[in-house]
Amino acid sequence: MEASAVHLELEPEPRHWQRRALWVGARLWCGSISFFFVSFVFAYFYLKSLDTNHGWKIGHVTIAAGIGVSIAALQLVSAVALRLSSHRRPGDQLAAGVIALLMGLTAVALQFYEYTILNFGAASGGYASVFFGWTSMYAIFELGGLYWIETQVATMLRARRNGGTGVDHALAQAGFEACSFYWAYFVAIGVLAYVILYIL
Amino acid sequence: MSAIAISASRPTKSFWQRLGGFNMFTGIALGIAGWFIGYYAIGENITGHTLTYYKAQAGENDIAVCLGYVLGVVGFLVGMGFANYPVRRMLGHPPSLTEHESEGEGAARYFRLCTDHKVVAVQYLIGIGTFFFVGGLNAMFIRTELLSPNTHVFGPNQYLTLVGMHGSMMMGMMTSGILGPFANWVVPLMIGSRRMAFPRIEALTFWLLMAAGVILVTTIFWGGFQTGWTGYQPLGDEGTAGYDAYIGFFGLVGLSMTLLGLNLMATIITMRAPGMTWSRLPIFCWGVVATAILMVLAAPMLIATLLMAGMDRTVQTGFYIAAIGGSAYLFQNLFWVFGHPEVYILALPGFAIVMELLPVFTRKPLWGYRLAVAGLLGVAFLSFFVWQHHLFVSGIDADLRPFYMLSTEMISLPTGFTFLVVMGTLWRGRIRLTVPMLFCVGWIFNFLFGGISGVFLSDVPSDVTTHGSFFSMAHFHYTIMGGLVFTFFAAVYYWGPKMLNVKFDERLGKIHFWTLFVAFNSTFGPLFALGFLGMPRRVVTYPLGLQGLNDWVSISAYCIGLSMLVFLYNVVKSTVFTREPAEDNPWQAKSIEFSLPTPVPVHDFERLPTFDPDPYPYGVEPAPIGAPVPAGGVA
Repeated sequence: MEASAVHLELEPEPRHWQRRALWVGARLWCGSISFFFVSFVFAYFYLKSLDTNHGWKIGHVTIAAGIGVSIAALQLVSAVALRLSSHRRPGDQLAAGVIALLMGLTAVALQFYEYTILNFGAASGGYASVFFGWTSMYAIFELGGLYWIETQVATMLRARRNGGTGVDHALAQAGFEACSFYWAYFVAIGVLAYVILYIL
Repeated sequence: MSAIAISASRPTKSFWQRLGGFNMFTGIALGIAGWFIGYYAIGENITGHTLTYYKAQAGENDIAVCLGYVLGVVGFLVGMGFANYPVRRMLGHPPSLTEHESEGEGAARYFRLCTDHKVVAVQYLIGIGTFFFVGGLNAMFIRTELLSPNTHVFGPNQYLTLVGMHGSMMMGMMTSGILGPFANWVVPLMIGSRRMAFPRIEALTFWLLMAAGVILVTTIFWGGFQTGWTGYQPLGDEGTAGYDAYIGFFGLVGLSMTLLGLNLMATIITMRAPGMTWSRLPIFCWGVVATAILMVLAAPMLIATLLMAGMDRTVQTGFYIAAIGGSAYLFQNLFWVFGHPEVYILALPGFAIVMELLPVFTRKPLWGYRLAVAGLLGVAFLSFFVWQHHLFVSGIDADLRPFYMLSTEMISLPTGFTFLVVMGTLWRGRIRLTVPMLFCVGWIFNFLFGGISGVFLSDVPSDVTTHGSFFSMAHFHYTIMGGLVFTFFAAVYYWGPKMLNVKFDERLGKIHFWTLFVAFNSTFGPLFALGFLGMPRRVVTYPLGLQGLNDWVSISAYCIGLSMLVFLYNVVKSTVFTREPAEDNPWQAKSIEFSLPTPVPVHDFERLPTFDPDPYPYGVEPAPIGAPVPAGGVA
């Protein structure tokens, strides 16, 4: 491939545009996932109140409360760590990112472990359907969120290795802030899931 | 502020070299490979057949089918190159915004991941146009079947599949029918930006939609689906694997819609050039904002609803299966929480286009700008509170009906704002009946009928009487086809020359409009009568006494098909044969996109424009609209 002689001098766009886009995009995405999970909240209360054919819980349906608490706690710690570090130095952010990543991955692993020890299956009534549907979708979204955190961690690691050259620090900071906001919001939905599925 | 240099590189690779790498052809190859891996290598090895409530005895393997679709789409996107950037980011590379935007890439840009908003817009225009014609062809088949009550061209099952595919294709693909091609192309220009906020996501929305369209077409290999576009339960859960294709189709459409809406909103909120305040935003952008709000919030519910159906069919949940604690009405509720805003996702861009174009062709400022904005946002807001009017005959509590009746009727108020703005702008205007203007006038006529019949239908007694009949079908065709499709064509004739750098034949455009307008009303007007006479939707046969009207409708529908052929001929003639270059500003418009040269340069503006006056300075001389400096030239 050879470059042609076409060269244009362009006025760059304002640098704050992309940072604001990340800020706004993260919040809009939170709106989207809210409505996604509201569907499961609606399904929970709708099916519970209908109790069609007395099928809200069929047979012996007992939830693994200890695992539920552990998952919620791990998620909370990861969100708090990430969010609190969002306005700190990159070194603190790196540590918080690694902690959040590990906690989140453990929470996902625990979720899938829980499926193997439950004494009911997905066909054990309306509750079981909502439980498996909601938690599995949440775990998949969680993996997506963890990917985002991983990119932040990897960017910071690479920047550290390169001595900080070639990095737009303001943009990286905006990316970390957006990521931590999304993660905190997402974990809040997870806590709501815990309250509805394990306590109510 | 410093300047940056960009260069346009010209690839010297041969055609065969360029065929390799990440592009549409690689995407298709990996998509097919992904499907085989998902279906045979994984799905068939998990279980021989699905063990869900309805499928235990059917011997069908929905797990394999769904895995095939999922891995097929993943393979397609990987082949297109969508995985490259996420992997680079995982490895810690800094963010970047552009891919394949160089002019030197030529036509190849249209067959690969390209982040130029103008290229994505043209991709949308052609891609959606193709599926629009497939959906239209289905409509022709439907009307052919209904030529006779007793002699069948298709069987009942095939007929239902045709109806479902037609509805899904139109309601699914056309949700992005205006925002995809036109908002992607014009919104960045209108607000003075060179790009969308998230260019890769912009490209992703298009290719997801194309994958969705292909998945829907594959439903014919599984015996189709019998639910129509609404996918109602329990028919859906009981259906063949064709319903899996339906789930895959609408799921991807929902994802595409969500991301498109998010991207458009983020762009308009954050990337407006200096001076482009909210009160100066062109009304088309306001329409995009209102529609995007609905997309961002409502479409995720569709995805969740369909995922629940998918889980019922694969992993033994029972969301919609009454025998194991579920309820088919859960699907109806969730679907219509999305489904009614969806109607406005289709309609609002049409409102916005009409209000954007009228000042150009009346040479007047838009009358009642704030009223117009209030109308658009009001419709968007209220559309979340009306969904249960679709369930009036589904056994909902009778006490709930008045609320949903009133909330539905209330939508006529902000819609009425739009009509007031349109009438006020037309009043004493110097009207030029160009082809885009004709389509706008057609919208006024059609949508009036669609809107008034909608108010009529929102009343519980009339809804109960006409529910599921051709009357309601006529109503929504007047709103969707009369509203969306007419304004789609208005936009094609208005912005198309600028986008494609060709001049359309004006005479053929007028023939297209008049044949479409007459045939459209001749097709859907009699359906009101057929509905009142008791003809139900989605039934392959009907009483002999209704044959006359049905034949009239079928022949009129063929005329719609012919008018579309006129359009197609015009497009092919203009873009392939005559190729007469478009003028920079064929409509003497004062909006910013028409102050740029045609074709619009890759990087749109050399310097970012500033905006001073109101967006519609018609009748004010001289017109001091923003002063963009296009790349390589002086405005």
